[in-house]
Amino acid sequence: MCEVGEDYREPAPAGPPPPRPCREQKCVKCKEGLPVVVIRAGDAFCRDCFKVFYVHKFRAVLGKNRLIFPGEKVLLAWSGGPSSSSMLWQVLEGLSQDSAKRLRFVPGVVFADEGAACGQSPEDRAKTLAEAKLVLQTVGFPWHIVALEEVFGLPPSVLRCSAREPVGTEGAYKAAVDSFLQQHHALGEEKQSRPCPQHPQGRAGPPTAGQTEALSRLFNSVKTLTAKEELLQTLRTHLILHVARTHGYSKVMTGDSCTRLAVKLMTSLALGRGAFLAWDTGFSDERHGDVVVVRPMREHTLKEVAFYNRLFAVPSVFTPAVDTKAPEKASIHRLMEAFILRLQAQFPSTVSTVYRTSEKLVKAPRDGCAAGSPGPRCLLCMCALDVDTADSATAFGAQTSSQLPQTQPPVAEAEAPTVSCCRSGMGRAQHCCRMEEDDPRARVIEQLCYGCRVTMKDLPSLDPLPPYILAEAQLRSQRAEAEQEIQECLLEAHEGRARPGATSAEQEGADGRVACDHPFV
Amino acid sequence: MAAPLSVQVEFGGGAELLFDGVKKHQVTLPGQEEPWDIRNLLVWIKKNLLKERPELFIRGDSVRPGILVLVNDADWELLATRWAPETLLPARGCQRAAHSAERGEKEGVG
Repeated sequence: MCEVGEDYREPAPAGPPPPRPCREQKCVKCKEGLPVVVIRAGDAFCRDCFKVFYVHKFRAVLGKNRLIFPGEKVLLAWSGGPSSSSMLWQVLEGLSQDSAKRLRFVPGVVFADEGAACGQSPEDRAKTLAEAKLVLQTVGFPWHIVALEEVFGLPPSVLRCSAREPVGTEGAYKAAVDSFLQQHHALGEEKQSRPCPQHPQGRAGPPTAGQTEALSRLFNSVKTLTAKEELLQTLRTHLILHVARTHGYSKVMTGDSCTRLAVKLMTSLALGRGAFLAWDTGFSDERHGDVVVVRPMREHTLKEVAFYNRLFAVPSVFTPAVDTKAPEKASIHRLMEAFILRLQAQFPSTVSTVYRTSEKLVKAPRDGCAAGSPGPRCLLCMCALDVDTADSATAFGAQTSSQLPQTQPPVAEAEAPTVSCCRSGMGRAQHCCRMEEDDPRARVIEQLCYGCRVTMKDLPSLDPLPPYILAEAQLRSQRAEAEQEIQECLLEAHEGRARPGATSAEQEGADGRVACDHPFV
Repeated sequence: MAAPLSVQVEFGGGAELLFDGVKKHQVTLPGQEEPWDIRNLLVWIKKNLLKERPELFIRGDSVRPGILVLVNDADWELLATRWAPETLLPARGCQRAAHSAERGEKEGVG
């Protein structure tokens, strides 16, 4: 009925419609703009709508989690790659926005130069560094450039989980925001614009040739690429943690994208790190106590990141990684990446499905490890130890104990000989010598979680490891021994009391009698 | 018969390492019987530009999963509906392979 004039129009052409002219399709959001990118199974976005969508997602992730308090110092871990570069730019834009939507934290940037681990020549490293500095100068945040070689100068305290301040509740967050706003209202808008001093810290100085050599010796000694990637990640985390602590940052932001986290989730599973998935892939990671790692890019896919960076000219620095140009099956990391990406090409919701799974994981403490008294932590990844020597009946327990060299019996059994040798006259010296000389490896291994133990299997010798790891391992085992001895002394004292206690009571009784008798004397 | 076609091909995000580290290539595709499309172009790139490890760039007759392709700064996934198969690549247009995640991207940290 509404097609009154239909009959007078030209008849529709028979057969298939002609190919649609170029750029006829419209953006799904505004229905006007020319689409430039397809995201989420077939949704075509135009440039402007894509930007709004992308920025909103970044802000929403931060807003939803309410973890970063106004005025808090936040260290942005920037590798030069697309995701972390995009993160840097999001923060930069977020800080320069109008007051209502402004990000209110105080950022700094850390760039870790990993050239030595990847076998880069000094010339290439200098070039990369110069490019990185250029970007950092453009961004204008305070920055710290560190070389991975600096792990050789780290203190053992990096591996200790520092006491955590009480976790902010919803109410605390609101109160902090209110007081921050009031404070700045009083100070006036002028001072608010850039609260952080603009002093680029730069780097302490180029690493020495000896350190570079030590680092490349360490990485060359690792037998598999899988272990190499794990080791690099561990060392990098420790270094960034150290930078954050020494400069008073209480949060570290990393640029892990949704795609990256999906790959990491599957990789972690394959590496035997299933117990720590929630920490390894969640939005926030509180394992270090005083410094919390957050992942604000975790809802952006790599495709979105790549397109955003391309369309809005976000600068990034290409730095070769340990797995650059490696074939697909060179490491578990590469294999999982290829697997996920290939599946994603056929089934476009693969990444989001895996990612949603990671979102549902809950960080539950193990039985017996109450939040108040943290149990033993893995020396390397600093997760609560998932190794259970009592559980040796399971395949896991069997494998755990078989990894320790035969000279070192599992801990539960080791107690008996330890006690006897320490008690015998010169036993203590002998015992300590045994721990020092025979089993430095076992000493380190028994302080690792299952996943890190597997990784360390590919490290023929622990000697090339940076000193802070070995020092902390020694410290921990000494502390454990001391605790053991104290326990034994207490036990002895307690046992001893049973008999001599009676005599002392008698003495007391005698004294008492004297005292009692005294007035009568 | 398609006339020779001049295009700019650009690689990024680490993909350039497979092309001697050169990001931008100004090339002229020779005239041939059938019209040029991306599939043909990929074959031509593999033969003429690619220097090493083709398996890291090409898979079957397309790019390896994880590599993103932009044509004139637009996602090539839009082209499936936008251009009929017989349409030529516009002369002087540019094809950009922004290599996404895989090779170039290192995790932020972490």
